[in-house]
Amino acid sequence: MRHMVSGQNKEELYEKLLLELRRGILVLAVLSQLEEKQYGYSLKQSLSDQGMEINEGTLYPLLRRLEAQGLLASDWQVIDDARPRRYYQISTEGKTILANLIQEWQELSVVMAHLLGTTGDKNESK
Amino acid sequence: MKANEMIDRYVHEVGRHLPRKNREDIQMELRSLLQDTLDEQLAGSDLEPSTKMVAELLREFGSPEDMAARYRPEEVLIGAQLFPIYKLVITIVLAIVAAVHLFGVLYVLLQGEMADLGKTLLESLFSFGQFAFLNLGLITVVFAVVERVEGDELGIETKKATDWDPYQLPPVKDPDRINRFEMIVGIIFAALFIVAFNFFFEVIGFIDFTGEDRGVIPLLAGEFRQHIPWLTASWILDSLLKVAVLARGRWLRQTRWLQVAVDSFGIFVLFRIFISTTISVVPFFTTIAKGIILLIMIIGVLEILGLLYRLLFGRPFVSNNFFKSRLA
Repeated sequence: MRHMVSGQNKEELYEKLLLELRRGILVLAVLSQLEEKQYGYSLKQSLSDQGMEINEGTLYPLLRRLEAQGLLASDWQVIDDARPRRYYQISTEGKTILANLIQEWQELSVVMAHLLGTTGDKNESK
Repeated sequence: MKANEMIDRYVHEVGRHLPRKNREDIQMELRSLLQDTLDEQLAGSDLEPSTKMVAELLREFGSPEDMAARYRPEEVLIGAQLFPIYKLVITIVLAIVAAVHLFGVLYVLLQGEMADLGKTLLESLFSFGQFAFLNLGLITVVFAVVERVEGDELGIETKKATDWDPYQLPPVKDPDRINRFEMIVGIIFAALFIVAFNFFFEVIGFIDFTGEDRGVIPLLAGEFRQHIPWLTASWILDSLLKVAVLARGRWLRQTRWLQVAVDSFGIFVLFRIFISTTISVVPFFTTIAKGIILLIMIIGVLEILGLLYRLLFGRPFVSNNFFKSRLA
């Protein structure tokens, strides 16, 4: 059965696809920024400063999930007399996974650039 | 509503939808993250965050249900969308099963079949366990199937950032806050009972309007006198505990443990009365009284179990205050 997609549904569908596209990239982005220990807000700022905007409701639960998966380690610390904060840092296991993910990402980037470039060429030639 | 109170309400509300295991820690971190963001927004000024500013920030974070859903592990039998409905259905079904069994026991009591009471109680408990287990299993299977078949297509809307209002967050219920009026009334009534049962035992009863002298027909049987020292001890202990709690202004961990001990003693005293042959000179009243005592004992045991659970596995009452005070 074919579904008619209304304007609003199209927008929702696009949002959903975008979310799926970003989901994997965010893990890579977060892992790559945690060589040094950081707390949630400082990581969000660091990502944002480098052009990777990420919603609080996505980033903070993601940190907990990565920790539960053993890719991050965390503990509560009081640094510079500030209030206690939970600091996250990439674990040894996380570093191994990150190295593999980076390699995959680089290979995928080449493939995708080729695929998208090819599609573009085809369109142009028509 | 003040800015800090709004944060408290939000953090509490998120916690309500989180698994107990990580709740405390996630709530603490969430509070810290909100505070960090507010600090950054107010950087360089001595201003305190306004309620409006906090409301804006909370909208960015998302509704408590939405936020909690993101914290819940993905590999669960029933996902975040369906879980609140699952919890509601389970609660309703278990409440119905419990009520049916309780009425069953009360019916047996009112029929006066006291000889089989122990057997009836055991059978009811076993039957309740069986029904509860069976229903829990069935409901869980149904929800797990729906989750797997329909998954993301269910279309159950959680409150999104745009359609929830931080100003409508419900207040945080503080289980350790005391109601002074209630406690003082409790102490006064305990004192009245002590005096009545110890000094006016014969007067507790009905006025005989049929006789010429309008004397009192005693309600309680003579045998009941043996329970009075126990009841008195229970009322005195309960009153002393209430006085101690009133003096401290709120329930503390130590006084909660004392409450467990005092309430357990109270249930023991009630149990002694429950298993005694006669309570009232009127047999029908003995049956009624035993039914009421049984109900009070069941509620009391449930309350004690709830208290124990909170003391052993729940929110720590004291250690957490360190972080709360530092985070404030």
